[in-house]
Amino acid sequence: MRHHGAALFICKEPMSRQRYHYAKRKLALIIPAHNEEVVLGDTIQSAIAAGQNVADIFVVSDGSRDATVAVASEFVDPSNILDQPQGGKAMAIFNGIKHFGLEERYRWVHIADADGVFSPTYFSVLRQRLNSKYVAATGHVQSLQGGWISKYRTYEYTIGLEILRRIQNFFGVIPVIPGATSVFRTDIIKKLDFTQHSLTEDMDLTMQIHRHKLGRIAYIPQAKAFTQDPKDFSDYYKQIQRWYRGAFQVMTRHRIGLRPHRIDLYMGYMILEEVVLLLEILLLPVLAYISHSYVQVAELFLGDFLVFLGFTLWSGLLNRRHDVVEAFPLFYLLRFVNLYVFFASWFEIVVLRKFRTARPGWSTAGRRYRIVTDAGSN
Amino acid sequence: MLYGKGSGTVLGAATGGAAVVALPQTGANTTVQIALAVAAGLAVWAAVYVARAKFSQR
Repeated sequence: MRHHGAALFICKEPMSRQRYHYAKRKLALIIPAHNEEVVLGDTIQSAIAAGQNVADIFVVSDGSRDATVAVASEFVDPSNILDQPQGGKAMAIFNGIKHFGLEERYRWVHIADADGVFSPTYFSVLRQRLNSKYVAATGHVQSLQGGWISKYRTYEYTIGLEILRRIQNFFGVIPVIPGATSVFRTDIIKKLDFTQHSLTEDMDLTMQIHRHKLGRIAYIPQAKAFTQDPKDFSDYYKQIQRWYRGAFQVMTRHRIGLRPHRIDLYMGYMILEEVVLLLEILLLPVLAYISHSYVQVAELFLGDFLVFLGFTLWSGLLNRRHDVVEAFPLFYLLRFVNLYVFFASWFEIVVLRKFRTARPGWSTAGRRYRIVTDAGSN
Repeated sequence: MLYGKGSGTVLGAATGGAAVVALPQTGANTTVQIALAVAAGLAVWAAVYVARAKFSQR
């Protein structure tokens, strides 16, 4: 019988109820990776520095053609590395969990992207906060320092997590457990379907938790993970296109909006926000042209400017990053690009019914660059 | 100065300020004038930021 290294443990219970069971370790870290030789070593070192025992770190190389496995071997025991033919990220995670027997050996499994950096107390905080009230958990994501795209992402993550995530957490409607910091209780793994190929496997797994009513998702803001952003506009565009297409794939697959669940209501609200913004941008100039009065357009622009600038200043102050504020005017461009890609993806997926499923690939090809950061000291 | 840190912010603010002074002569509504001044300031700010980024890549 394979014990997977778990300790044999005898309960101190009356003889009639005495039973043998295995004391599971608390938390495993699994890193799916496809051609991640540039960043994987830094991620593993960061996890160790953040309090994760190296024996509890597992790497799945999904059809890598570079030195991913060799880099992983420098830090992790070869028995903790699985090198498999390419099957996509979700299947890499699932196969890794099965191959290493993580459901039997651990109570929680943390999935992390190969380009992550963890704050120094990340894993100790998680181990303290994870408890059986929850079936999954997510920490706080922040951008690694980088170009203007990273600066915009710092703004987005600050607003998205410091405000929206707390509201989502309060109402139990966290729509996505991001790939950079996602933790699942191992007893729900068998209830999750990893074979549904999706462009956003993290959102798909999160929606399965909501749809099957598996339990609550915890938001643990003290556990901070840092992630790499696209380095130029082209990569950024591809990434948000994949995210929005993936989001509409998942919403279509799980029939979001068609059931009387809280998550349906919340996703409907999120879409409504985008619709209102689009209508304002499209209709107000037309109305101004017809009425020969541009006062409403000016008021809308100034109101938006003040709120947008205020939140950007707050993001810069909160993260002690004045460089975030320096790039503020360029954020307008990315906001409009986001809005365009959002509706273009909706049109492609919902109206044209394209990209309903995704081939099991990776989006990180050629996108990685060496992690240079002092984020771990934050 | 042009390529110094924060130069985009300073030049953008200066442009916005200049626009506030110049725009009343157009006779446009005050809110529209302020919006145009802010837009001009943002445009200069963005242009200087991009120029600095291009310059620093060389």
